Amino acid sequence: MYLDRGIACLWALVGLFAVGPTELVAQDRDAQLERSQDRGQQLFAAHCARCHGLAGNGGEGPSLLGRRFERAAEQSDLVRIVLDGIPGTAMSRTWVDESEAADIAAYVWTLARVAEGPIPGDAESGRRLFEGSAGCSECHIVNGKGVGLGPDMSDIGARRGLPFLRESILLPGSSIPQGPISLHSSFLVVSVVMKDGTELRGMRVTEDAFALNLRDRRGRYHSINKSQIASLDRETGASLMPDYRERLTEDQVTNIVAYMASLRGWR
Amino acid sequence: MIVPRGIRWAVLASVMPLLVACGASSPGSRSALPTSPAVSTTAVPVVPYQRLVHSDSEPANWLTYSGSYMSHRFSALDQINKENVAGLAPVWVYQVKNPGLVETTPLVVDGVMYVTEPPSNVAALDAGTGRTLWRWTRPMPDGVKNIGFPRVNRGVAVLDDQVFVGTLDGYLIALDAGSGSVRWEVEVADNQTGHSITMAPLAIDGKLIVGISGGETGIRGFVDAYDAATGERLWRTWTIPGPGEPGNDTWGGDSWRSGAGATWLTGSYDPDLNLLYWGIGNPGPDWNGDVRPGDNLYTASVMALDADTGELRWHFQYTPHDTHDWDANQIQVLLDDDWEGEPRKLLVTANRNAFYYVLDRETGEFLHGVEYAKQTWSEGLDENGRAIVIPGTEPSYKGTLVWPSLQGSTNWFSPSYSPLTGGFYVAVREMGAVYYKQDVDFEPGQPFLGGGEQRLDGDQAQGWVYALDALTGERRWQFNLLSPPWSGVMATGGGLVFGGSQEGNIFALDADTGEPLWSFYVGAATRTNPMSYAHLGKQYVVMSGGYGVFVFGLRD
Repeated sequence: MYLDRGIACLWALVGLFAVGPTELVAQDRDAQLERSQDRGQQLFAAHCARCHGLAGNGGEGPSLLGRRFERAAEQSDLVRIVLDGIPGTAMSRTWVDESEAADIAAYVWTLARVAEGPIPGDAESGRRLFEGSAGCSECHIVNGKGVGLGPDMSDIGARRGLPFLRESILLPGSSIPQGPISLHSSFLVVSVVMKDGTELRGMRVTEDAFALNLRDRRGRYHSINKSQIASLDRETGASLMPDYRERLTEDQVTNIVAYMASLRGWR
Repeated sequence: MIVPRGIRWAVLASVMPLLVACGASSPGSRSALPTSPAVSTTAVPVVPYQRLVHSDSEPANWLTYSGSYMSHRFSALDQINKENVAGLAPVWVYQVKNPGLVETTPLVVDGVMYVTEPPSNVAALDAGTGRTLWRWTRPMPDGVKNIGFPRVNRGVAVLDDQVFVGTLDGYLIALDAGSGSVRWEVEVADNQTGHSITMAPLAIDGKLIVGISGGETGIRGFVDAYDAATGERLWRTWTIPGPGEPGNDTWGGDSWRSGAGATWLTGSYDPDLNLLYWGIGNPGPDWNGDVRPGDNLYTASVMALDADTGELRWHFQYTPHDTHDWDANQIQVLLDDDWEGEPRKLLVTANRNAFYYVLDRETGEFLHGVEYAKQTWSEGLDENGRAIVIPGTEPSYKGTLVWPSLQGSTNWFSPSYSPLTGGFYVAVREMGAVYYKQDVDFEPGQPFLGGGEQRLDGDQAQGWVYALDALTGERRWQFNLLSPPWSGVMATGGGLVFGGSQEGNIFALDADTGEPLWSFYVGAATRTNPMSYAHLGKQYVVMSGGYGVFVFGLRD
C-alpha cells in the first residue's frame, strides 16, 4: 500500500512539468480507481465467482452484469453487502477486509455497466408469445399464473443474465439450474427402471441416499424407494423442455428473452 | 422421570446411589411414555479420572467427545443390531433454543445428557425423556469474531462433578454438573485477535486440555492445559516454534509470527505413555505460500505432547508447506494391534489431504500411507511419508483445479474404528476446487487468507462413507451419500455404522458390507457425529439434524 502511494507521488513529481495540476489529480484518481478495480477483479475471482460466475455473468447466483442493484443504490452499499452478506439469502459474508471489500465493490460496479443500455427486443410481444403460442406458461409460473412443471420465472430477470436466458430457450439441457445450498440440482432428467420392470422418466425433484422423487411430463409426482430401483440414469444435459431452435424465429427468441429479463419479482 | 424441583442436586448426590429405578405404571394410568417407569431417580453424575481411563468398561455412558481417549467413536452396545435396526424409531427430540448449526456430540453420564447449543450454550437433559434439567447460556459480546468457521460448539468435557465448555469468545468455563452454575472461567486467548473455541475440551487427570480456533486470522496456535479445580493454566505449547526453537528455521523470515497452526479439534490421549496427540491446522496465510517459504512446522502435523509438561515428544507433518488449507485437525485414532508380527501402539488418521496414515505412536515413525480418496496434487508418499508434490498444483492468481477441495477429503467430523471388524469408517467428500491465490498483508484480528476457492459443487461432487482396513487403508466397501457430508460416523457392537447426510438422512449401514439397513429422514442437513448410550437397560442412538437432537430407540 505504502509503496503504491510512493510510486504515485513520484510520478506526480516527474509529471509536474508536463501537465497542469488539475489534470494530474484526475489522472492520479483514475489510476487509483483502475488499480482498485484490478485488485477487485482478482478478489472477485477468489471469493465471488463461485456463485456469480468468473465474468460476473451469474450461475448459481445472480448475474451482476448490467444490473440496477435492488439492494445497492451506491457503491458504498455494495461494500456492506460484500462484508455482511444478505440475510435470508445464499449471499454470505465474504472473508475480506474493508479495503478489499471496497476493491470488490469497485469492480462489481464496473460490471453493472457492462451491458447497460436498452435490452434488445420487444418485451410485450415476448409476453404474448410466452403466454400464448410458444407455450411457456404451460410449464412455467410467472407471478402466480401458469403451470409449475419447470422453474418459476417470476424473478428470472433478476437472477440470470441475457446470454443465460437465451441459451436456456435454445438449448434447455445446458442450463439446468443448480439446487440451493450446493445440493444436487433439481430439474435434472432421470430415467428409472424399477425391479418390477416399471419405467419412469421425469425431472428429479429431490434425491438422497434412500429416496428419489421425480415429476413426470404430466405433472405427477413419483416417490421412489431407491432400494427397489434396478437402474437409474441421470440424463445430464437433457431437459424435458422442448428445444426451441426450430420452433421460434430469431426475433421471437429475442422478444421472449426481453420479456424474461423484465421479470424482476412478484408485481 | 420426575426431577424434584428446588432440591439441590448435591443433596441428592449424597443420599442416592448412581442410578435407581423404581415403581411401575399403575393399571389404567395414562402416560406420555407408557413404557417408562413411574419414577426414576438420578444422582448428580460424578466422573473421576479413572472412569475416563476405563470408559470402555461402561458402554452405557459416553464420557468423552470421541467416546474414549483412543478416539474410536465406537459403542460396544449391541442391543440395536443388524437383525432389529429396521425397527429403530425416534424416542424424543431436543430442539436447541438458538437457531444455528448443531455440531454437538452429547455426553451421557448416569442418566444425564449434556449437549451444547450454538453458539456456546450448555443444556443438561434427562437422558430418558429429553426434558431439560438445567441450561446455561453464555451471552456473546457484540462484535465477537469467528473468522473462518461458523458459530458452533462441538461439546463438553466432564471430570469429577464439573462440566467444561469452551466458548466462541475464547473462554474456558467450568460448570457445576448438578446445576450449571459457574465454578470458574478463564480467558484462553483474546477473541478480538481472532481466537475462539468451538471444540470439546479433553479432560485428563486433574487437567483440561484445550486448543484454539483462528487459523484464518494468522494467530500463533497453541495447546493449553488448565487445572480442573482452579482454572489456573499449567502449561502452553505453541504449535509454531519461536526463534531459537527447533523448527523455527522452517519459516522464512518473520513469517512464523503469523503462522496460524490452530488446534481446533479434540485430541487423543494414551494414559500409559502419558502422551497427548493433537492435530494441527493450516499455516497462515492459507493459500499464498510465497510469503512463508519452508515446511512451516508444526502446521498440518500431529504433535505428541507430554501431558504433564506439554513438552513436544515427537511430531509428524502430513502436508509440508500446505497451500490448500488442509488442516490435520481430524481425529487421531489410537490402536493397539500387530504390525508386521509384533504388537505395536499405532496412531491412524484419514487426513484432509486424501491420504491415510499409520504411525507408531510411541516414536512418531511413519509406517504406512495410502491414498484413500480422489486427489490430484501428489504422486504418492515417499518412504518417510512425505508427499511427492506434483508441480503446478499450488493455488494461482488465475486459479488451479485440484482435488480435494479446501474442505478436504474429510474434515472435522469424526471417523470410527471398530475393534470387531478392524474397519476404519470415514465420511468422505469427493470434491474438487479451483484454488486462487491473492496477495495479503497480516493484520491481527483480520482475515489472513491469501486466496480462496471456487468449488465444483452440485452434481460434480459426491459424498461417501468408506470402510477402510484400519491397518492397510484399503477400501473394503463404499456407500454413496450424494452431496459431500458434514457428519461423522460411529460403529457399534451391533455390527452397524451410523451416519448422516446433507440431504437430511440419519442412517445405519452394515459394518461388514456397507448395505443400508435403516434410515430416518429429519428434513434438514445433519452436521454432527453420532453417539450411543443406554438408560434403564435400553440402548439409544443420538444424532442431530437441523435444530433438533434426535434420540432413537427400538420400539418396545
